[in-house]
Amino acid sequence: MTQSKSSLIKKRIVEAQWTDPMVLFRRLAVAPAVLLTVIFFVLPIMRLAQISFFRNVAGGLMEPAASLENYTAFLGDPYYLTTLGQTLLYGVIVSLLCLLLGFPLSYTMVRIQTRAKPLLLGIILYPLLTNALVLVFAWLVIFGYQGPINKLLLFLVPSAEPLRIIGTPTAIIISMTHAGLPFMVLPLMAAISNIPVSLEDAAASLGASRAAIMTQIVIPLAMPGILGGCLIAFTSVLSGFLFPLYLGSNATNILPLQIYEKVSEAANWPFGAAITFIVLLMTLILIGMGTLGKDLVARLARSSD
Amino acid sequence: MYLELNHLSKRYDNVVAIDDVSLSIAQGEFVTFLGPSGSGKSTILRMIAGFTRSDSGYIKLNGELIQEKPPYKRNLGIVFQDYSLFPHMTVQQNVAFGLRMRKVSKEEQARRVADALETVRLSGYEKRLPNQLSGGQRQRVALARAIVIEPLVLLLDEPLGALDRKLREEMQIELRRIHEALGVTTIFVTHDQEEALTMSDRVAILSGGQLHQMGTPYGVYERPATDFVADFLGRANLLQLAVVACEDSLIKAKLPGGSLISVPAIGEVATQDDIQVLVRPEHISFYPPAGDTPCNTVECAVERISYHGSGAYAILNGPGDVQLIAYISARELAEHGEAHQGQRITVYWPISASTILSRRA
Ligand SMILES: Nc1ncnc2c1ncn2[C@@H]1O[C@H](COP(=O)(O)OP(=O)(O)OP(=O)(O)O)[C@@H](O)[C@H]1O
Ligand SMILES: [Mg+2]
Repeated sequence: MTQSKSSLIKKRIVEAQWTDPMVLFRRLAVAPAVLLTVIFFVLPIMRLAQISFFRNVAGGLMEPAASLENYTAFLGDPYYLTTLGQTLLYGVIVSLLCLLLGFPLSYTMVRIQTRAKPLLLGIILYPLLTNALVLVFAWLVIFGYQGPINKLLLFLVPSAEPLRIIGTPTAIIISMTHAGLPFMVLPLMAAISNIPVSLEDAAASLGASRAAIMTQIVIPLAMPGILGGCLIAFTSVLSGFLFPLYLGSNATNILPLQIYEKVSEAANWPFGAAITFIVLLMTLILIGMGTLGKDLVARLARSSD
Repeated sequence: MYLELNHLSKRYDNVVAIDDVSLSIAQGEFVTFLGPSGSGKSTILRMIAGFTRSDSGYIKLNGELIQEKPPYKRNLGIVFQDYSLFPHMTVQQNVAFGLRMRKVSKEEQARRVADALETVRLSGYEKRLPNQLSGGQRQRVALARAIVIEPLVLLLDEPLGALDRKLREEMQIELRRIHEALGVTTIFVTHDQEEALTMSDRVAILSGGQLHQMGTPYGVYERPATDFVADFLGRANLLQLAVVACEDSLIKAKLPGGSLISVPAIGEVATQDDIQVLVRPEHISFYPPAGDTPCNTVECAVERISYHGSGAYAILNGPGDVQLIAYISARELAEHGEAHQGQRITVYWPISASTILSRRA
């Protein structure tokens, strides 16, 4: 009965061709999105790739070439390599902080029964819904000498010196963690809401404590969300330059800032394009590693003991 | 008693989920909670397991109050309706989970898992993941996972609900076999009355959060305590009678149409009372009972015969708009010849086969 039904559906799908108006409609419906992506994303990136091999000449002009000198300049300069290392470090710290904050948050958000849930979700996702510049100004106020943090400090310890937070890595990390949190929480909440509560009940009935339920059941099953969230949080660091620009100092070394400076201040487009491509490559490597990691986790979980 | 539930109650906002339920279960018993959807079966099970707190009342297991014990310290085996197997673990790992949590040695884990899988006849499937198993096999893994920890009580919440009829019947037999082999006290939840009657030592019938009756399958079927129980357990003729005479052991009462019926006396019933009497369709026959068994007779007209293979239900119109349902066995049907609509017929049932359910003065 069900067998014949499913084979019937399959047959229908196979038969669905260009002549079928529904199929035609569906293909036409995705066309604008594909077109937009090609015009505003694929073409500019290809152009950027081309530029990264050009040669910079004085006065913000460039000369068509096929040289690797931008790349060799980057890879041969310890300053840029340190920047690369710093960027990765920021990425790791921010994703880990996002994970540490985001996991308990996501778990609670999924499991809690309250009418305030949409409101809570709104607060968590707020950084996504607003311009990063607005967030930057908010942090400038909060971290400032006259800001609430220093006011509180002086209220508690009147003899203390106001803290200098703006211009330190702390300010960058806090602001980027805040901005990255929604990228962590969304995939985590999706992953956790796919874990039936009855699995946790079953584990409890088999003698698992809360901690054991978390480490044995919830975390392994949420692993795709954890990896996905870390990946996006990490890449948000690779792409965000506003936070380091306004909340960092001259000493702040981070690649997105370098790209910004090369392009808008030094007007060295070819070098900026080359750095962009190095960042892009790193992102791709990360995504690859994340995908491999997911498989690996799944395989390890199966073969452990 | 081994497991005692005492005056348990539970409200959710304005829904009374459990309404003052008390019952007790002996060690090694196979008890079924039977009731329609929303009657509170799962809620009681979750209270025993410790996932839901009762508003009042207490639960005693093996002489110990377990109200304050968290679920993971109660040592109960639970099988959920959706099996709740851990999807990232193999069959072996799923079954070993409870032992691992109890820090049982690797060798003993392996031995006990193998035993449990053999008990549910699933040896050889150790390396499979849950999504590589059929519904019936998953069900067995869930069962193995629950029994391997040697639980004090096995709680089964509609474990056969998702299986097709044939597999369901196989698993019913399998469950009874496993229960007999292990002797573990078992509570089985179902809303299938036939399943409840065939499997259980005793059946507890719930409705609207209340316990209507608890007794042996024969007892609850033949001597239901309420009209709900009578109606829920199979088909029932519920006759409204007016008592005309009370003798020592026999009550004579009138159907609305005037036919006189005799019913075995129980409790205090007086002349002029209205009583409700149950007669099961199987007891009503087209022929008088063998020998000189005292019986009731009613003249009816056949309204409809619906065949069920092994027999047929005859829908009959008695005097005074009384409708009767009789179950006629295939043999009786063959002897009697086909009854057609409108045919006048006399039906018989033994006096002892009628039960007074309620009385209104
Ligand atoms: N968490 C809850 N919140 C609110 N109401 C609940 C909750 N759990 C159960 N109920 C209510 O309590 C009553 C009993 O539910 P329960 O799940 O025990 O029924 P059941 O007999 O197991 O039904 P089914 O056969 O459908 O599983 C129902 O009216 C249900 O709506
Ligand atoms: Mg239920």
